[in-house]
Amino acid sequence: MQWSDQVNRYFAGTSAAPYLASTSKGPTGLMLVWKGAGSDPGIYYGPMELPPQTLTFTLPSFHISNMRSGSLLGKTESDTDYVSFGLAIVGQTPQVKTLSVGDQTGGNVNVGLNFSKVTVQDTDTVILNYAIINSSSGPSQSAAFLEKNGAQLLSAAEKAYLLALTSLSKLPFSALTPQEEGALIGAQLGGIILPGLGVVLGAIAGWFVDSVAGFLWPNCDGPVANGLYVWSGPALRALMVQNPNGHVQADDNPGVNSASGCGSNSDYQVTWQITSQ
Amino acid sequence: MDYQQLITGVGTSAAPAWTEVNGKILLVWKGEGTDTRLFFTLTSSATPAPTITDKYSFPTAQNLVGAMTASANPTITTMGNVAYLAYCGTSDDGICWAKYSDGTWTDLHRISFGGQNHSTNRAPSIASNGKALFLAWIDSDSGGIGWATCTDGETWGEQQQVAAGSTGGTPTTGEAPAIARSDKMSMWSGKAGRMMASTGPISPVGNGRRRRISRVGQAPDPRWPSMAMRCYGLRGRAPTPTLAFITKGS
Repeated sequence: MQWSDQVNRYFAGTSAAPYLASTSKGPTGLMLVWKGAGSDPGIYYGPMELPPQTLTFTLPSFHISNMRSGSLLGKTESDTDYVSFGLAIVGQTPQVKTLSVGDQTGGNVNVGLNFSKVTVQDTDTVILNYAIINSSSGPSQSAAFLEKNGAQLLSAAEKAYLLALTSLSKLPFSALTPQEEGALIGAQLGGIILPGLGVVLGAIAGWFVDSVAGFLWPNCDGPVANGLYVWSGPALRALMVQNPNGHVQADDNPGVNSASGCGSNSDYQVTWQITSQ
Repeated sequence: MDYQQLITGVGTSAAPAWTEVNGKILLVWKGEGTDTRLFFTLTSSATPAPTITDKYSFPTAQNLVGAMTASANPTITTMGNVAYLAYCGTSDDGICWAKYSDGTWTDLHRISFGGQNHSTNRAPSIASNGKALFLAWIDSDSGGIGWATCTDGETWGEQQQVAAGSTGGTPTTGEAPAIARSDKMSMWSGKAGRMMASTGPISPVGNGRRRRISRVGQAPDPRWPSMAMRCYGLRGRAPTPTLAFITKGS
């Protein structure tokens, strides 16, 4: 018999033993009763397994402090930006959405990509990725690149998660492809990857630009933002408990080197958020 | 959110316990601090609330479980229409029990295990699979985990010791063990710096069938396990052993 990972039961604290009982109540029949925490003598009860969460993941906007494109005259050009937003629940098909936001010279840029009302069980692992590229390859090719790249990165992160799990449990695991290894090494996913990773633009830039064969990066084209996050279901629940009105985060993405003549590195700030329902 | 409900008008300094009997929830607990009396309350509704987060209807009054007193938290289970309570007595660490049926408690006093008395210095753990009662406790004499069964609700068999698993080593625990029982499986868990669980046929241990002892989770300093069968008694759902425990800092 194999025991599952332990799951934190939120909204319960005790200074004595919890008591588990099988009852005819709830979807699993398991109810928990416990004494209050510390000196609290109160007796509390509730379902041992909490209902799944319904969460919405959104990338509302980003801010350009410094473009990637430039010339000998300075930052006089514009970035032609494409955004991808990807979500994977381990064991389910990853989803990647893309958007062309056109030519940008700086300031705030609205995006509005989201995954609405995603059901997350406490046993789930959720992987989130965003990417922004400055590309002159046109909307269709750029979107296709982002979709393929995003799906590959989510898949690599999922395999890294399973790798970490199976490594812990000493079970055999399937080998990663060389490309996936590149993503994992680049993103430093080889160890225990939970909790989340954060901004990985610098770490995976090399893999990122080479990940889709035949995609060209002329002139000042290149990636300007990339974030990768991994949460367990209970970690997301904790995040929502700490932020009942939603978790909003702004990631600073210091840029990577561009071709000679493009000027200083880019600097993009990407805002993403998670809300209940 | 309704993920925890406070039962008003009651309090304890030890772990409470409950069971479902005749469609009602029977809650028992030891008094606060040095109060060794045992108390109980029973939901007024025969029908459990329909959703997972709805409240049970507990009356505000608390009642004494006869004149019984316990030195540690009580434990309770149901077989048929009768609830069985087990606890560590206050006078001599004897393992005592009582039953609740038709609104009446019956003090069954100290348990005789095949004519022998045994003692424990922690709370015992009682469970049922609907056909028999199963009791586990720390044996004060050996430090091992003792267990016994009762099939008729009256007479307990001799004390057995949880045997070594296939990985060797007799299971021991520094805290009260947990027990749960389905038709095919029994298990205990304890603390020895980490949570361990033993699974396998409850008896006999032998005939080439060894218990498997495995670590549960990776939590630092897990303590005070409680075990029950997930979906036990629900139609079409296979029972799965489930363990609840607290961890350092939780």
